[in-house]
Amino acid sequence: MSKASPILVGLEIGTSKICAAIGEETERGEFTLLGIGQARSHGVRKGEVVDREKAQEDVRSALGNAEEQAQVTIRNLFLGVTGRHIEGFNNVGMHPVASDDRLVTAQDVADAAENAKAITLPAEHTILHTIRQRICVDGVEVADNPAGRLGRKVEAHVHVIHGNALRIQNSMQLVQSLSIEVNQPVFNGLANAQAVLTPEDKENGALVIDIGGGATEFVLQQGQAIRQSGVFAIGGDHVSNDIALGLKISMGMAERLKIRHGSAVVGAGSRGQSVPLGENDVGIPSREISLEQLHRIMSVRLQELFELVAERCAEGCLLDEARAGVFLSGGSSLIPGIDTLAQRIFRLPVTRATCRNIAGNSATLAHPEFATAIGIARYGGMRLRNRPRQRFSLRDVFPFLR
Amino acid sequence: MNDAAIRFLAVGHAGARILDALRRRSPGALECAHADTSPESLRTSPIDRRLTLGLSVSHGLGAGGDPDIGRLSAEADLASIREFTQGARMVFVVAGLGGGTGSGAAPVVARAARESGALVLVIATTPFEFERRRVQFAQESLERLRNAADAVLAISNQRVRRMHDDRTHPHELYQFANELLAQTLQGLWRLLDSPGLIPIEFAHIERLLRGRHAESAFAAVQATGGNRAHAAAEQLLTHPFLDTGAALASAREVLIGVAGGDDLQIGEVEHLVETLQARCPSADFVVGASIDPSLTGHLHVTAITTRAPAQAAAARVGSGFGGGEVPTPQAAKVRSAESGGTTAPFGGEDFLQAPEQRTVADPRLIPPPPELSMEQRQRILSRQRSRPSSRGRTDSQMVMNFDIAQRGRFDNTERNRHKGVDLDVPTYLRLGIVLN
Repeated sequence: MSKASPILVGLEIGTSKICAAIGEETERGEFTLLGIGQARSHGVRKGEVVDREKAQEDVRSALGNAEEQAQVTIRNLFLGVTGRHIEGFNNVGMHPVASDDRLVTAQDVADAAENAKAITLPAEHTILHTIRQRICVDGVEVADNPAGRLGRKVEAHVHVIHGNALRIQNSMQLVQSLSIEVNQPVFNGLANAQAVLTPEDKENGALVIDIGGGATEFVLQQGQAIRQSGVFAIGGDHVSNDIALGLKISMGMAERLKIRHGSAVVGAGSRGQSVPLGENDVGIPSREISLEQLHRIMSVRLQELFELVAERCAEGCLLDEARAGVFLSGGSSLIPGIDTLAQRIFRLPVTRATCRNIAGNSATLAHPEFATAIGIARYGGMRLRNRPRQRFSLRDVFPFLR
Repeated sequence: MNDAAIRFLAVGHAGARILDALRRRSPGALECAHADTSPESLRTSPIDRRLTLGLSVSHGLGAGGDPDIGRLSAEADLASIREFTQGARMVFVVAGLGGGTGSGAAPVVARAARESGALVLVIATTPFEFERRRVQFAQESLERLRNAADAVLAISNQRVRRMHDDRTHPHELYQFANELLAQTLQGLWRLLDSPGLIPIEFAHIERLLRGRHAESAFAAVQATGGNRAHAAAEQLLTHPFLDTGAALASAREVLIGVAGGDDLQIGEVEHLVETLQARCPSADFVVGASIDPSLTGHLHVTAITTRAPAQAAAARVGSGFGGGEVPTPQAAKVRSAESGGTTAPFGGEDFLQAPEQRTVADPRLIPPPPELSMEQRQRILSRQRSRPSSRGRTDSQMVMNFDIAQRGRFDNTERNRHKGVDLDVPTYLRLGIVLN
């Protein structure tokens, strides 16, 4: 039951499923997945809990499954959060070098980073993550530690991810009510990137798009820095909903149709084709659905989603920095043709993401649906590992809501 | 209306900034002057004609934030102000209230201009809510201005603030406010000064504004592109200075000034006015259109509305305040709460609806003209007759009917708004793709 290294647990309360990942990490940061537990999610819409009791039940069963598989007892975990209230933006903090000899000290750098967080957030919002992008002394970018240089002014460029404190606390409380402690809330998109990107990908710059059931998170990471991030409350649910409304069928049928016959692009092959909707409750074969229409409904929705992401990343020409390309993750990344569609919009190489640099059951790791939960656990490990020397880390400087 | 000599007089530093913004918008020869107590401010003034106020009072130190010094300074140099306003048919007094010069001198300047026979319009900004003391100065000054000028159009910085998010740079905010006021000033000026396609009689504006400032609201918008008439109408109907259109819905008289380049079409003017008329069926419309070749491709629309007096009277009588009392911020808060009107105590609405209280405490103030009290009486009478005050507002509520689009599974969830569209509504519906 007890292990030498700390057990890392990541929990994702998703719209279509709730997923818990248990892993452990060696001193050098090698991550091993020990177990995955999942449960169908009933109380979540667009990434946010709407029915507490159902969600609580589902979380309990997902955690139970994971505990069983990994043979451990979960006492605390890192909780993934998402929702359209979460937003990321870039900010610069400045600090004049006060000493007479103009020698930059570590304190100056820390103060500049602190100043970067002195921003006015929307009411009730709190900072989830502050990620340092680069440090400049007198406008010149310097290596990670500028202490000892001479200069007048230190600038810290950071990426700040913030969200509505009450909504984040809501999901934290849901876990706490099961007598499990939440170490820290983690933005799902950030966690996802930690699971699917290799160090080389990060160095080249990569855009990770996690299309979940109810929300899509995107993170543009370059090196250790996050250049852009955000959430759109659009996901696989919206695709199914569009199909249900457009073809006038039930949500369940739409979901089945999406999985069995769906495609993100309208190909020549689908023209004039039709598929039977299947038998209805009384066993009478029902009408046929035009494949072209199905694909068109899905295509325009996903295209719009990618365009929204592309628009956000186009601010400041950030897409050019994603040289490793676009990584698609999440359940909806399994839709056939989605890579072609993404390629058409981003004009970058597109990869369907799998969890990498992680040891464990390879069949599980190949599933993009689990990437977020695994990423959360992995991010937790990075947090714990880097706590004493925060300089090199993706770090949070704010203790959250304490 | 070319014979109407229109002059602009900035009082104080803030006034000069607004006037400068106006000058940059319309590089033609504007007759303008900058009156200030501070020689320093005058020295750096962007305006050529400068009137120094109260050198003998403040000895060149400026008003120092004291409205009394501002007032005394202006009174000491009334002659130079009269000299500037002499012979003008219309004088725009532009001031930022709250400081010493703006709050103190502007009412005196306005009065002097009016005494020289001009129609006096005051364009003023009032401070942010957090500038407590300045807010009080501004409020007192506004009361005096209302007695002294023919019309007062006041915009609260706080109101402008609400149109921006927290990250806005203060400079940007002030610039925005200045531009907004300059745009409106330009609109009014153009209305009176440009060759009219459909001319507006000077008397119309005069009749509309004289003694009515308590209920006036105003806005100026501009639009370009093929659908500009429609876009301009939309902007006006949602303009924050017009209470997001509520001022139009409850308007009794609406004056619309349309200015465009050589490509202005009468159809556009027609469409614009018809769109606005649909929203305020009970209002009288006065429409003017003018041509300025430099505006080719653009459409500028200025709207001045006056409310039905019943509402303003209800707002005033509901407060139960004595006539001589100078409203404090707290009092104003109570008043706006009682009248059930506005959310923010010192937003522009409040200034626009504020009653014309006579400040008898100050002997320097000339008693208000008799027609004002007549109107007050009329308003109280009309209030007693009937109070169908919110009829106009219900009309504007009925239009909000956008729930036709289907959201299916997301029917009961928070709307997923992004740049004005609800992302929960199927994309194919929003794109208008037909499924057969």
